[in-house]
Amino acid sequence: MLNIKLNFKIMMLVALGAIAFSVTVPAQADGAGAFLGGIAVARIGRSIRDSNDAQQQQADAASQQAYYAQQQAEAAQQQADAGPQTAEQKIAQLDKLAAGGYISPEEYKSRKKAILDNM
Amino acid sequence: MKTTQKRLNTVALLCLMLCVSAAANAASKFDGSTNLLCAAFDLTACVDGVTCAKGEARTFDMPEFLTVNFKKKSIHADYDGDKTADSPFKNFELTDNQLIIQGVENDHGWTMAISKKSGRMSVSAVGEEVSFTMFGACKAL
Repeated sequence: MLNIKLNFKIMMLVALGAIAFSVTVPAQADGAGAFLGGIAVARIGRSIRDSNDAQQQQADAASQQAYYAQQQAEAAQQQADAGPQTAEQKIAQLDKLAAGGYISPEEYKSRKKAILDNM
Repeated sequence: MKTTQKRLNTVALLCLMLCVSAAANAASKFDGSTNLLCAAFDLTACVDGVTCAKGEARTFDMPEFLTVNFKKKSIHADYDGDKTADSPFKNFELTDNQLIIQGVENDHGWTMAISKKSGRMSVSAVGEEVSFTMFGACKAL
């Protein structure tokens, strides 16, 4: 009988201890971890790298646009040198630009339509 | 007349005591005796030794507030609503003008310096890929 009472007291003490622990120790979220050498360096590194990637993409796009403009200027010069182009020549040139990815499919369609309309 | 003089002396003495007490209290704010709440303002950082950037701490997605708990010997930050992060330190040192706290964490060494007079804070952390310096200010909790 004494043994059962003792066991009950121990169980009560354990239960009270568990409750006290859960109340006094704040639950840490999943992302709990290191601060200055952890999330701080990770976030700063990611932020700078992302920003750098975006700048690189912008530079690449600008470079591609400049190349396209140069191609167009060269084509215009060639056309001026060779005299007026036939519609067939113009469409062939347009095909080359589209195949090289220098103009979008929409741009290709509208320019082709313009050439055909002028025939 | 004498009574009035005595009263004035008492008031003056009381004021002096309060001023001294306030000054002593202010002087002891940033000496490790009281926990601190710090706000991060500006940050300068370099990645891979070549790409550097500077701006407000929040533009780097950094926690804007951190607490220095001298009893737990830890710098604590809450972020993203429900997440927490801590940087433990073993000791801190008081120089003539600064409270210096240093720690090592995840292959990075960090130092926090807080002006004993103004509470202005700077934190730097250095590592192989990312190093940064953050500026802000602290107040006693």
